[in-house]
Amino acid sequence: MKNLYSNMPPFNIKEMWRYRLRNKPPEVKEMLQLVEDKQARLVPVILAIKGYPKYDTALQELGREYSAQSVHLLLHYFFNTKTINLAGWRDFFQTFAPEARALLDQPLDYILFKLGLNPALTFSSILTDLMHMGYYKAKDFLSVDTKDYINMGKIMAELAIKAGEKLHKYGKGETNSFLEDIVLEFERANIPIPSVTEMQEGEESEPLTLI
Amino acid sequence: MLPYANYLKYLLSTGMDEKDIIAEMAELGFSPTREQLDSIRNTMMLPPVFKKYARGCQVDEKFILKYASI
Repeated sequence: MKNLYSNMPPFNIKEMWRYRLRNKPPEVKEMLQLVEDKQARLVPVILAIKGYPKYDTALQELGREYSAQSVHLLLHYFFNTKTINLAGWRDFFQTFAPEARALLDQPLDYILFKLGLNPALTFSSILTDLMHMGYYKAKDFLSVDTKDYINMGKIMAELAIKAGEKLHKYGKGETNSFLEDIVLEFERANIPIPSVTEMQEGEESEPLTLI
Repeated sequence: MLPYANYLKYLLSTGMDEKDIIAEMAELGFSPTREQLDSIRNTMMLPPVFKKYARGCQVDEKFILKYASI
């Protein structure tokens, strides 16, 4: 059969026919439910397009009972990320799901946040985002010549500069989470921190200011 | 290339009418055209066994599964 049909494009629809003839694998039934679930079906698709490695278990993280295998089948039969490039997806989603089209141009961390998944942000990535956001917002505000806009532009510029300074100071070590970054900075600072029992009653600690 | 081309291939291989395929896909939010369906059908080179299956005849199911997995 291989020689006879070697020039034709791959057929690759075995699971659907197995399900039709043998009623298995059960993940096909799950996949057919998932494709009708218009709220959920685009979550793994967008994440797969953006290169998120855990796209196939993202729905489970969100409390939906779709197996990773059913997600793989969904991508194979309905949203095939292997045959379409990013520009193709932009065109497709333009009419199919404009809200998905808008998400495609966002950074992966932002998409994870919007979808309710917890992005593992590092201290330096937060500072980088704040710096960029402050800079571009400042440019926007300062382009309008009114007192309120100029004031807002100055505030945003100040935020960008402070974030940049902090990034320069703290952003060299990469850790897995914001909390780890803070712990690391305490360790680097080499400041003796009294334990709870050593603190005097009524004594107040110095406030921790990040920005 | 349509992202749901593989599902269309499956529906075409079952012998389903184009009108019914378009209606089923529309229910799922997809909108293939007749021209797109014809184009996919032309690349498939479906053996007669699929037509026999669509007519309800006894067929070699193992052959169908083997062909579908190519």
